Amino acid sequence: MNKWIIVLLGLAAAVIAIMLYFLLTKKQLVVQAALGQSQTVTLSNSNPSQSVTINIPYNDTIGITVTLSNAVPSSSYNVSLSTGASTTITTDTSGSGSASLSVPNVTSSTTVTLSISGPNISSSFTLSINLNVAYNPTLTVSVGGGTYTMSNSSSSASASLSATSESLSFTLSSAPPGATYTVTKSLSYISGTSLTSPTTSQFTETAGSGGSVSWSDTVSIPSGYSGLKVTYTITGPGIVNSFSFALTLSSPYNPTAAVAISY
Amino acid sequence: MNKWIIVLLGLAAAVIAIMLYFLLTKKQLVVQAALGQSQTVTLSNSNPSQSVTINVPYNDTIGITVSISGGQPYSTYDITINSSPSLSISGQTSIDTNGQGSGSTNISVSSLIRSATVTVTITGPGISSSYVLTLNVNLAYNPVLTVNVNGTTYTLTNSSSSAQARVTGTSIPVSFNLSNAVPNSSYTVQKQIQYQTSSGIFLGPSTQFTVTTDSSGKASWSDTINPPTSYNSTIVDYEFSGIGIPSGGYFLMAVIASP
Repeated sequence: MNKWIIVLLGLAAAVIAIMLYFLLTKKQLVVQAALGQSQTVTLSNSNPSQSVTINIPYNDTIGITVTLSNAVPSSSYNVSLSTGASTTITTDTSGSGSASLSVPNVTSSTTVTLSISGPNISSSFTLSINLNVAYNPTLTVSVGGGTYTMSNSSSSASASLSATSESLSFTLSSAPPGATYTVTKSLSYISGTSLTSPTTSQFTETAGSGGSVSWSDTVSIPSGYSGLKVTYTITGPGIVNSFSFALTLSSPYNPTAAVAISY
Repeated sequence: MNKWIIVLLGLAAAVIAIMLYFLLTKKQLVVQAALGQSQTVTLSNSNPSQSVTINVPYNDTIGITVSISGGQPYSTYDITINSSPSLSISGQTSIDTNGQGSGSTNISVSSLIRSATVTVTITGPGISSSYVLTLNVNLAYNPVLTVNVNGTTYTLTNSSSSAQARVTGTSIPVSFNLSNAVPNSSYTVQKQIQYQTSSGIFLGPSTQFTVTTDSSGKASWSDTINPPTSYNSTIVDYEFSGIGIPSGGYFLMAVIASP
């Protein structure tokens, strides 16, 4: 009797040892979803659902990279978004694989659900991504006592002034902090009824931590011209196409030249 | 009643007489000046280009005064003058406007010995396209003096401005014909007589008179040289000067040998 007890205890110990071995050595299936530029969320059977909120600029496109590790080797995992986009990850022999999806042109705050299913995933891994359109840039231009505002809903403005020189002040606000914007300045002079070929210059402005940046410029009508036309085009994060501001400056002077010829 | 009628008729007659006097005797002011003519051309953004033609005598100098008004205060307006063929141009070719946007400058164009086109271009603030005045300078007057000395003709022009006549006689007729000169203008004739003897040359009398061209730029006059017989020869210099004739004038020397 004791002999059987000893045998059974031995078997039980072996089973426990094997179970402990598997428990201690078997790796858990892990899904890492990289969102946009900087956030990574890890999903696993022990933590199959998560929620994340990210602030994005208007019209941004969110890239989502799903990376599987410790999955069943050479197997297929289905990855889908609530927007309808889906893809399949086929793991390699070491049980790893990745795929990318995107949510394009987000112009309003929304929630997108990422679902991952496949072998050894007991229930679908689910990630709720709350996309908060937090940055919708606005450009304000002050010139000649007037203020002109451009946004994604009204992206261009123009002004015509009678002066020989004008200073323009630009303020870009509600932009993503640290975002860099490109300003293209195109300047033509009016000679008679025609415009000279435009001179184009380009510079960049970077939004501060508050999402704002300001700069200024001055344009003047040189001698020999009756006016100028300058166009500023701003492109960058959160601006769908571009913001465009055109200023036409006309000389307020209309000189008369009397030429007396004596002979 | 008849008395008052007579008085009123007398007054009316007096008024009519006074009116007739003024109508018949008052002369209209007429200025005809060959030199000192001027004309003013106005250029603006609504009329930026103009062209004028002027008739000038040989070797004339044209004065061009450019005046800017209504321009940009304290600004510079540039004036470019081009000529074809090339002429001598002097003067300040820019205008700095004052606080009212006004200013002017004087420019001279000289060495006009042939017809030319002078282009005056003005640029500056508020001038949308350049103001351009095209000045067609027509060298219309190039005086020719034909002198006939005792039957021989000598022609004096700007390209051949002197001549010498040698004659023998006691009474030498000299006739002058001026043509292609500036109409209604005065020219000066300086006559100097010299006498030559075996011991040298002695200055004789000198006279000066003016001739005035008609409306077609012509004038004629004559002279007679009566050389004294007591000298070997008599030299008469005629120097003719005026508008369209360069300094030095036209010069004719008549040497009359005593017969």
